[in-house]
Amino acid sequence: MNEQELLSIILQNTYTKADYLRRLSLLREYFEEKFFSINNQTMTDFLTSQNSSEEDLAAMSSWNPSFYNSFSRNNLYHLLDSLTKYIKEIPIITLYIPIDTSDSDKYALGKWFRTSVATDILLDIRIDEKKVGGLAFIKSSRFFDYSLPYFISKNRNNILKMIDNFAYASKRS
Amino acid sequence: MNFDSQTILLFTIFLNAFFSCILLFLLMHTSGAKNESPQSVGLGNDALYSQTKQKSLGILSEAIKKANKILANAELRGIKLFAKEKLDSEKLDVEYHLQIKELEEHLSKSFSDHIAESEKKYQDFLNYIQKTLEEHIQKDQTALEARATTFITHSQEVLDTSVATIQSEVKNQLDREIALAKGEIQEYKKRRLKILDDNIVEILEKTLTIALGKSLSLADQSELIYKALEEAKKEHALAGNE
Repeated sequence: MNEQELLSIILQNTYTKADYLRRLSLLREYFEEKFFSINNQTMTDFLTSQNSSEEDLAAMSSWNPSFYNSFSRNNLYHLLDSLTKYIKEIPIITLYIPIDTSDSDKYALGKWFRTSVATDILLDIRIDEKKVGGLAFIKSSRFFDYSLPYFISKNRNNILKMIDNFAYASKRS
Repeated sequence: MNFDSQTILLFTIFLNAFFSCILLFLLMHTSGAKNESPQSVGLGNDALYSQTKQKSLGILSEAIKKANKILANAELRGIKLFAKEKLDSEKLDVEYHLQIKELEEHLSKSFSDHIAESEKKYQDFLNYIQKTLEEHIQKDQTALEARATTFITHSQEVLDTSVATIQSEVKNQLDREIALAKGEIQEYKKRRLKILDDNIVEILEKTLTIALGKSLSLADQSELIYKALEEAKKEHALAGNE
């Protein structure tokens, strides 16, 4: 497999920039142990020994054998460096969400972006408690705020009308 | 010349005493002559002396008798005179009293007449004064009533005018103040409403941020995140890859 195919496989179930970089790091460690030490364990055993998350274990275990067979002692660092450099070419959307979600929630978000926006996209998820009632994101160097202020501004007239009605009703009563 | 009885009695006593003194003087004078006679004249003259003495004593006795008689007459006359004087005096006193009484009666009657006349004149004067005063009072009262009526009418008109003016001024002032206050209230209301309108969203945002940030569950937050993403997608904020 060439670098593009490898990248495609990784991105099938890797949705965030953090996951992508962490999994490349795990691949590096795994292959270094595999190629440069006497330890010859499977990826699943390696991840278990590293106390990796269930998501990492499930995702990396799902990559087919040809993916792992594409790495050799000779091309390991070249491929890893190339895959690392790809991070600069992959579209990344920085998300600001008000809560620290679980990994499964992050996966769900990633899947949503993959199906709704683009198949090769990565998320850079950050916590910002001020973005309550929604989220904000940076895409293509542009900042979009879809948190509570946005929805209030969008419904400003309706809100004011509602307040006016309430004030009028209060005045009459 | 009238003498009262006491004066006459005193005069009589005085005469009696006077003649008694003369008599005593004569007796003493004759006694002295007798004592000198034996030495100067001699014993031949004793008969003469005795005769003379007898004569002198007779004369003296006669004189004393006459004096007593005169004295008795004088006393009698004095008593008579005194009695007469007394009778005259009593008569005079009675007359005097009668006259005094008549005078008193006359004076009393005159005085009563004068008093009655004076009272009548005084009453007439009082009636006149009263009548005059009543006329003056009536006249003054009428004039006073007329002037008072005029004054009250004028005062009432002035007061009505003043009250109307004051009422009008107060009303105008109150209207101005109320209009000013209403204007200020409206201005304040507008200002406050504008501030409220301008900041209502921000206030709402901050309020909801404070409230929702701590009360929304993770599921709610996730749902809102997906809702926001759908909104972004609908607005094509996520469209295009660069």
